[in-house]
Amino acid sequence: MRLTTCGGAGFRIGPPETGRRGPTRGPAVLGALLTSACAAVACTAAPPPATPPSLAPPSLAPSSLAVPPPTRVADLVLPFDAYRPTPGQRALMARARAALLARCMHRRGHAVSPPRPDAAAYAAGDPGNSRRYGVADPEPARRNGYHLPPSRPSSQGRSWDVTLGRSARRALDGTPGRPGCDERATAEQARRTSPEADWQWLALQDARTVAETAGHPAVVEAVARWKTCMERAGHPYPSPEAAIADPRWDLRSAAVTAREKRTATADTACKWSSGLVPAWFAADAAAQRAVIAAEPGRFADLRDDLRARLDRAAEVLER
Amino acid sequence: MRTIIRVAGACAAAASLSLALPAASALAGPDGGCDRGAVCLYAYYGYNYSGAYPRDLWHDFTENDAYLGDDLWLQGDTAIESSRIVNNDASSVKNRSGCEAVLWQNPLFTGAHSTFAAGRADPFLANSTVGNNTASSLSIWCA
Repeated sequence: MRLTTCGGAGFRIGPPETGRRGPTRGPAVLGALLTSACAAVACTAAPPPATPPSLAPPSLAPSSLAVPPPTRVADLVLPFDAYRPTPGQRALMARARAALLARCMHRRGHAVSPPRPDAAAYAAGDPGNSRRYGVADPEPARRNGYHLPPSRPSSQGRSWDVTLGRSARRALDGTPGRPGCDERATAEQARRTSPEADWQWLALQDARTVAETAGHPAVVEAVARWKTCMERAGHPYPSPEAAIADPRWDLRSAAVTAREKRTATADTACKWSSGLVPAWFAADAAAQRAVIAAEPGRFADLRDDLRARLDRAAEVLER
Repeated sequence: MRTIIRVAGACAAAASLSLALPAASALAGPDGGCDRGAVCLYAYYGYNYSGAYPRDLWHDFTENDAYLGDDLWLQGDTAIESSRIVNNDASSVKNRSGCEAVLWQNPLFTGAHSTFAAGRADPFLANSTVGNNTASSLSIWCA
C-alpha cells in the first residue's frame, strides 16, 4: 500500500517469547514501525531487484480483467494461487509426513502418533488473501477487529513430541552421522520432486506484485476515497496502515476492544466501497498474469513439482 | 531504512513449507537449536551453522509477533541481545511449535505470506518458499 503519511501510527513492544531475551525497547519501536508503515513509499526508492525486470503498471482496462471485479474476500483468488498448495493439499502432505515419521520411529523401536491434521483444520487457519491488501474481510473484523482469529496458544506442552524420552528423541532428531526420522521423513516426501521448481522465485514475484501495484494510479485514487469514507464514519486516519497501527490496539495481546472492532469494521467496509480492494486486486492480478505469460517454463516446473509432491503424499498414505 | 527497502524488493510470499528444503537435525541450545513449542528464526543460512558466519544470532517465538522490528537477535548461548533487529533479517527458520507458522511480508500480519507446517525447518529461506531477509511479522496457528 502506498502511503502518503504515517501520522497516528504506533506500536507496542515485543511479543512473549521463551524468556531468554532481555528487556524490550519500547519507545524505540515507534519510529521503526512508522518506517515500516511507509513501506510502499520506500518501495519506490528501493534498488531494482537483481532478477526480473520491474513490473510495468498493469492496465486496468476491462479487457485486461480475466475475471469479474471481486466483491468479497472469497473472490480474491490470484493467478499465482493456482501454483501453490491449497490448505487441503497442505493437510494431505502433513498427513503423509506424519505417517512417514510414525513408520520411521516404529522401525527404530518407538511407537508414536504424530497428529494427522485434516483439511478443515488447515482451511480454518489459512488467511488466504484476506490480509494481503490490509485487513479486508468484514466478518472477521467485526469479531476480531484487526487481530488474527484466535488460535489455541502454542506451547511446549502441545507439541506431540514433547513427551518423548531421550532415546525416542534421538531417533527423531538424529545423532551425528545418523539422520533422524524428522530429516528422513522430509527426504522421503521430496522423492521424485523437481529440483528445477524455483519456489523462491515465485515468492519474490508474489511479494513484488502486491508491493509494486500499490502505486498504481487506480489504487492511489482509491486510497483517497477510503480516507474520505473513514472520515465520514468517524475514523479519521491518513491511511489504512495508520488505522491498523493505531496504538490503542495491541495486536500482540489477545484483548480486542469494542472500539477496535468498530474501526476495523468500518475500515473493511470502506476498503470495498472505495474500490480500494478491487482496484489493488485487479492491478495485482494483472501483474501476476503478466509474469505467468512471460515465464511459462518456470510455472510448468512449479506445477509439476507440486503435482509430484501430492502424488508422493498420496502414495505414502496408501501404503 | 533497510527494513523498508527490503520489504519492497522481496518478501515472504504465500507458499507452504511442505515444499521447502529438508529439515536439519535438531540440536540442543541456540547453536542451530530450537526448543519444542517454538518457532525459531536465524540471521544466517543453515541455522547459523555455516563457518562463514561467526555470529550465532537467533530468536524464538511461542506466540504471534505483530512486528519483528521490536525484537533484537539473541547471541549464542548467553542469549544476550545484539544490536540487530530481527525484522527483515531472517535467513532460516525452524518451526517446532507443533502448529503452522506464517511469516508475513509486512508488520501487523499483512501483505504476502508464507506458511510453515509444523515440525519443518528451512535452512535457507532464499532457496525455498520465502524471500530471504524479508519477514516483518510472524503468526502461529494451532488448529
